[in-house]
Amino acid sequence: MGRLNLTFPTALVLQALARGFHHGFDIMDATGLPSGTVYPILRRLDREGLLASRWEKQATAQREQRPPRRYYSLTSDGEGMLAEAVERYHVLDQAVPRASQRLKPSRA
Amino acid sequence: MTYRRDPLLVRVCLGIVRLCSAVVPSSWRPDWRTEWEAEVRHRWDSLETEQNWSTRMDLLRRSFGAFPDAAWLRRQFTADADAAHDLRHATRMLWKAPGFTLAAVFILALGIGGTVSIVTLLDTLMFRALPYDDAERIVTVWSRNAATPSVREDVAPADFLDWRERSKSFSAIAAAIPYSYDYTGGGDPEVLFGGQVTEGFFDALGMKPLIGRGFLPEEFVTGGRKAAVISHSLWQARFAGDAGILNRTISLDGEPWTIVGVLPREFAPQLLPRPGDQSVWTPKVIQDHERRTRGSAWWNVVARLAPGVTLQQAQGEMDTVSAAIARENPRTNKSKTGWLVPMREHLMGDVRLPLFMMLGAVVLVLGIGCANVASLLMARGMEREREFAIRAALGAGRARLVRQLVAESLLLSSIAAIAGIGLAYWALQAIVALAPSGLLRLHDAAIDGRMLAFAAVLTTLTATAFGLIPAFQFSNPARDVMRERQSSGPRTTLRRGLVVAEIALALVLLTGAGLLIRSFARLMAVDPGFSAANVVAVQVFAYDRTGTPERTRTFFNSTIDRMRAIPGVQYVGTVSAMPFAAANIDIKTPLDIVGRPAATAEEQQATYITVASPDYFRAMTIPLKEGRFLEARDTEHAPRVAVISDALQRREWPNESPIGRKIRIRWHGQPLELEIVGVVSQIRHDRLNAAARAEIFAPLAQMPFGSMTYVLRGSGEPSALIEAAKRAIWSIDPLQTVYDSASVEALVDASVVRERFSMTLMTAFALIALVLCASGIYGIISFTTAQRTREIGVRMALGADGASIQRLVLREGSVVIAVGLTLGLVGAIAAAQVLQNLLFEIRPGDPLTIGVVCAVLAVVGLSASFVPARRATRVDPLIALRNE
Repeated sequence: MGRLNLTFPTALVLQALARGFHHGFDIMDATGLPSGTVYPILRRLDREGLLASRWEKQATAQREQRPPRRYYSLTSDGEGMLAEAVERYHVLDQAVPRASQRLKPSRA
Repeated sequence: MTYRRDPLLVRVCLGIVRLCSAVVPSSWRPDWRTEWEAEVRHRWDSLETEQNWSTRMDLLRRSFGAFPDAAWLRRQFTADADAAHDLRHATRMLWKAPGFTLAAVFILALGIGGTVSIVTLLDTLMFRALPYDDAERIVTVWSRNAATPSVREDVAPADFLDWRERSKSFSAIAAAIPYSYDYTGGGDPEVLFGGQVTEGFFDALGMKPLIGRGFLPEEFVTGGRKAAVISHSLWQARFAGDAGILNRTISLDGEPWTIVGVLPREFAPQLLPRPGDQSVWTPKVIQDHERRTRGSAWWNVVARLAPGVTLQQAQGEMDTVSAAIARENPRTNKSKTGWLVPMREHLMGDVRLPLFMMLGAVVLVLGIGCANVASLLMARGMEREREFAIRAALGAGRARLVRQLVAESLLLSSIAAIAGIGLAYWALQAIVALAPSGLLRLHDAAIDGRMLAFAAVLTTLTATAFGLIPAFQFSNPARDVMRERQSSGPRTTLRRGLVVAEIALALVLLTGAGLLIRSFARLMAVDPGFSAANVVAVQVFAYDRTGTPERTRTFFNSTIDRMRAIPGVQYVGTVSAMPFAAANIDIKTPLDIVGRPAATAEEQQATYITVASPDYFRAMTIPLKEGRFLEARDTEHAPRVAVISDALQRREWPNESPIGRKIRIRWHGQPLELEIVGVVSQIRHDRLNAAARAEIFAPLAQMPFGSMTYVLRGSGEPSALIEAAKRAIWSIDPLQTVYDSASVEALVDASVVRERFSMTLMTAFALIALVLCASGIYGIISFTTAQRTREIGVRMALGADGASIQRLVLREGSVVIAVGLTLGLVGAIAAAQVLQNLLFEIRPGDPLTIGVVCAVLAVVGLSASFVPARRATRVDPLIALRNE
């Protein structure tokens, strides 16, 4: 497996994951990237072992009457990659908000 | 998976996701759908408070993003699955044809393994870091004689001292003088080899002792403290690696020496003729007479270039210094210059050329192997035409088919690479065992990570070389498989090209091997001038134990008498310069002939003086040409006599008898006049391929000498004879050590070890090439003929008889063989030039060798064509035609 290309969108996704956005659509909100970009990036990060995924608890999903959401988080390799990304893209820090700041659904 | 009644927008979005999920590989589909549905519903729920057109449109747009996601997953899956499929298919194909697979793996493993092992050796010798500090600045310094400019000669003491005093190019220059020590006090008396070194020796090498120290300035003067440094392996073997070894006293030559240091394991400068692993090093105290000694040369010099000085500058200064020394000492130094040789070059010895030759050979073997496997693959490709046609018809593109074939080649060569690396491990051990023993560094040769990387690259290249050509040949789906097979066309041309290539490459290799074999045979056929069978040599250095000339005479006389009494011994002699011995003291003398004007310095040519006892010639079976041998009557009181070598006679008295002539020589600085009483036929001294030397033999009784080699001719095992000789020596002096002993056959044999090494390896490669080539040609021609079954059937149906069909097949075979031989001849003659320096009495373009090799290949090629030709005539025309 070749090493991942650290593009700016990839860097944004990594940063979003690190800042507490753990679901596909939330990451789109945080980064402003369209779904057709975010998901392939997530798949690639997953394949490279830079992130781990698990499913939401069945109880939560049933309470909300929908299927369980997929929860993504960075692995330690992923954090290493993020450090590299921060190094390379200096604007990264401002580009992604923190999850604690409540977000409005994006219009991206 | 409906949880509640959904609004229209959600239903549309979920529909899009469901539609896209069809693209997702089935194994991932359920998870994928769950994820997307959960996100869409979650988003809808969280929008409840804030629903407007733009948020709704955004949800719709995001749902369309499911398609790129699904497509990405599908592409991944297909790529992975294709690769896995290719590999699985390739494995199945190779498994189904075990004969083919084994043959191909074997052929490629030979090529890859051979190349990897030779490259490992080259890497070890040429690129592996030397164990010395800043090793590229270390040079060895030798004497070069204008008459024999390619020979690195040892250095005379006075020359070294002058170099040391006058040159400015070195930060350190030092000499090592071969020396052996009688070591007593550790059980039986034994000889430890080593050297005396002048000040700065370890600095010149940039090597610090592992423990302890080097020598101090006050240890290089007479009466200084007796300090010794020992090698790592001596420390381990003799003193069990005792950490408290420093300041221990050992007895060397009957005197107490203090061990002050232990050298690191890597220390192996190979400067001395007999380095040995277990060695002792002591400070050299320079003697007065050595400051004047320029005629005898036995010192080995090493130096470190001063910072900023290049090798050329240092050599330039050395030339100037040598010229000055030559002006001051014309008699001895007229044609001598100092010669700087970088340490690495010195360590590499003469093996660079043979190793490059070997590299050429293995690459040729690999090339022939590739051609072979390519032809095997082509033959199989023909059989698999239908498979490819069907796959093409079902929609497999050309690229896809090529990929399949490349996967097979890669798999094949990867298996071969693993086998080849195993083979290389084994081959390395075999080669190191065969190699001349001087090449100590070869023992470090090991396949490391870089070599494995090299093997990987080689494997890929190999796979490409033999895999791609047939791949493109057979993967053209446009080709009509059902079309009639023809005896011409691009495929046949390619096949013939392979045969041509195989024959040409094999011719190059066989010529090289043939030349080396012939050269070796000539070398072995050289008459050394003596008979080595049933003779053993036992060398002693008896100065220390004898002392005076009288005691030396007595010692040798009584030991020889004891040896004569050994049962089965016919003759016993002793000589100062034993032919083919490892450590000889060669003494040169200026020579004047009484009655002729004294030779000027310019006219002086090298003449050796050798001391021998009367029966030496008989023990060695050296034939007498004229006059008489040295005899017992030539005592110290009798007139001084000498026997000369045939080479000296031819130089000085080409057309007359020298018997009765008087010559003047120098012995221990004194002029002596000797009368010539005999001439013996020529004796090879160091190597079979070196010219016989001009030599004067003087009686031991008249010129007593301590460094002598006993020569015993007798029946029985050489080892038993050697043991008996040693016992005879010890019965006279129990403390006299024996420096070296061997059968004379072994000595002569050791002198050709290098040539035998080259020849053996080259012959092995050539035989492999011949077998590969023969089987390759046979395979291709028989396959081509089989392809023409129908055509032959038609010809026979039309009345052609068996003989004419055979002629047809043979004619085509001969044309291909002739083209291959012609091309190969050009290559062989070019490649043989490289071998020139390795050949003895044979020219690189030797017509006999090349003729025989061509004939062998022609016979191999024609017989490979003959069998298929005969088979072709047995074809039943009906069957052939029905084959359609």
